[in-house]
Amino acid sequence: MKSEVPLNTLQRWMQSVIEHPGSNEEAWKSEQAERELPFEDAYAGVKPSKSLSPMDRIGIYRRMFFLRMTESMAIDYPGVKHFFGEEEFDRLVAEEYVHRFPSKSYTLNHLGRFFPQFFKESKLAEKEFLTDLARLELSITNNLEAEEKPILTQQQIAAVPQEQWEKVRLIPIAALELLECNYNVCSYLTAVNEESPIPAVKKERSFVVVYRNNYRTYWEELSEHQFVLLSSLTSGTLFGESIALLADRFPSDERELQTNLFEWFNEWVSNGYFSSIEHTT
Amino acid sequence: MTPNKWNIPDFGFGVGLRSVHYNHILEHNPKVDWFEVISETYLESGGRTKYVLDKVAECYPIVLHGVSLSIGSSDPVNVEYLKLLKALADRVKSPYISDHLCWTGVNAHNVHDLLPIPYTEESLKHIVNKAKFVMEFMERPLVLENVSTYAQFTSSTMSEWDFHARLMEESQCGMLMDVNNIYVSAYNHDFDAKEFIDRIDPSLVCQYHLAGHTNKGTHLLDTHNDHVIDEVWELYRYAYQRTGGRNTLLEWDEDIPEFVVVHEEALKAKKYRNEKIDPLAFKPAKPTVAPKMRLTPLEKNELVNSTSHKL
Repeated sequence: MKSEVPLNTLQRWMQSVIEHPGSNEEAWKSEQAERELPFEDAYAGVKPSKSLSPMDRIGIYRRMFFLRMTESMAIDYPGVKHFFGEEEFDRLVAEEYVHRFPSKSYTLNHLGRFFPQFFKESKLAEKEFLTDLARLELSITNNLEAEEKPILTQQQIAAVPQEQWEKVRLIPIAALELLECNYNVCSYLTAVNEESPIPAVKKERSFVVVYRNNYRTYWEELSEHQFVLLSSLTSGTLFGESIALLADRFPSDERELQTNLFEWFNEWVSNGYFSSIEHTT
Repeated sequence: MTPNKWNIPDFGFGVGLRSVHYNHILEHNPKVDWFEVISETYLESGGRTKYVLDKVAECYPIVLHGVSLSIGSSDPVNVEYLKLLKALADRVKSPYISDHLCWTGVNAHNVHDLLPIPYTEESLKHIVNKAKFVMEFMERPLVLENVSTYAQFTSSTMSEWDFHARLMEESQCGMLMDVNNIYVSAYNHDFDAKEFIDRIDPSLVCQYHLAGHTNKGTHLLDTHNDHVIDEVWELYRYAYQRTGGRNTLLEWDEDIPEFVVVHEEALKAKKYRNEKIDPLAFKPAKPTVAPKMRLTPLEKNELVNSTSHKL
């Protein structure tokens, strides 16, 4: 390598070789690498050792790059990995995903944040299922590091006078997210997590809550009624208006709603979905 | 024996704070001198990682060790990253910041590996300027670790140890002397490890790292997945005779055994300092079985700190 090769040129060359998904030779002779440094110059610029050629030595960094990318993505997306199988998952990540969405963050925790978008923009036959599944898995990953807030207690609930309930606003914890999906992703991922029989992929509307309690992240399926009510409650809508909205949306289910409402709310408070109450009167 | 330039105290023998040991540490409060944490794991953490770090910081000295400063990159310093790092350093009262003498990407990419730099006057000047900026911003010493490397460039005009020595002399940053990395690089590039150590001004050495590695025959890999071999312990003894007491950390980042095993390994360093190991220094406790939790963010940045043995 000519001694006058600027540092930036050398680093752009090495990065392009490391990130290239092909073989070592393909990486060194790729258009991007050759644009930075012609092959002969690059080859002359890396010292061989007693037992390894320049290509072998850079190859160590190339293998490390792809191993790190695939391992990192496998940690965040076990459901997607199960769907494809390890070999195809690794290929997808190494040859397509990191090429399309190279890491630009200081942390590997952010590497997978574009996976739902990746599937949404793909031409895969199962893209809709995979988009939903990736959304759920990303929500779980993000949940682990959401800000911790104190949880609303039953005592605090009981302290609110009956007549004020209509005008209160419930503030959700930061570590809570609601997802509306078009496939059975919740049951699919749960089965993967529990190593139980995996259900077939099924197109069906499903509703999921992802939340954290005592530093442990959970995901559970909700009914459409629960989803509509919880979405309203956690979006800043007044309590009374949320109940009314639910009744308007499902007028024929009034009796069922009246029966279950208290039980649902009790469960949500016990699970720690809410952080505080805001009084508006 | 030479005191370090900044009078950074010798905390003693530390281990890395790793997620697999969280439960043990919180339950048993082991008698560890200090912990080193991978900065990137905690920079924007809000959940259990933040909780555990805060609990540990209440009871133990903590030093931040990063993997994304990329001081050797031709990219400019990432100020947004430094802001997060400074906030974390202030919060846990880290007496200095350590990272690696390497680069991790250019054009805003991050390859998440500790890549080798050419040892040239251009690199040196660039890194000296960046190091000075970082130290001024962070308001505390910057300590740079020598990395294990698997490639070198013919454009280099000086040795790795001359480069490191000049960098410290011209920027006044400190050195984290990773004795295992010196051993690994010496094997991979066929140089004398002691010549490396001899070139370094002892007063600029702030800390030591010790770790295991994997021998692939044609090269060694810095895998941090095993005990320290005898030859590396002897290099540590050699280096210690020049510097005297410095924070010493045992790195174990892959195939991590129980906490007691890692701690025992760290305490072996006492023997090489001619100190006696206090049998009461650690109390083997019943291993704590961590509940099955999706601790996904906690492991990933720790992967960058070593080379996988799966290569």
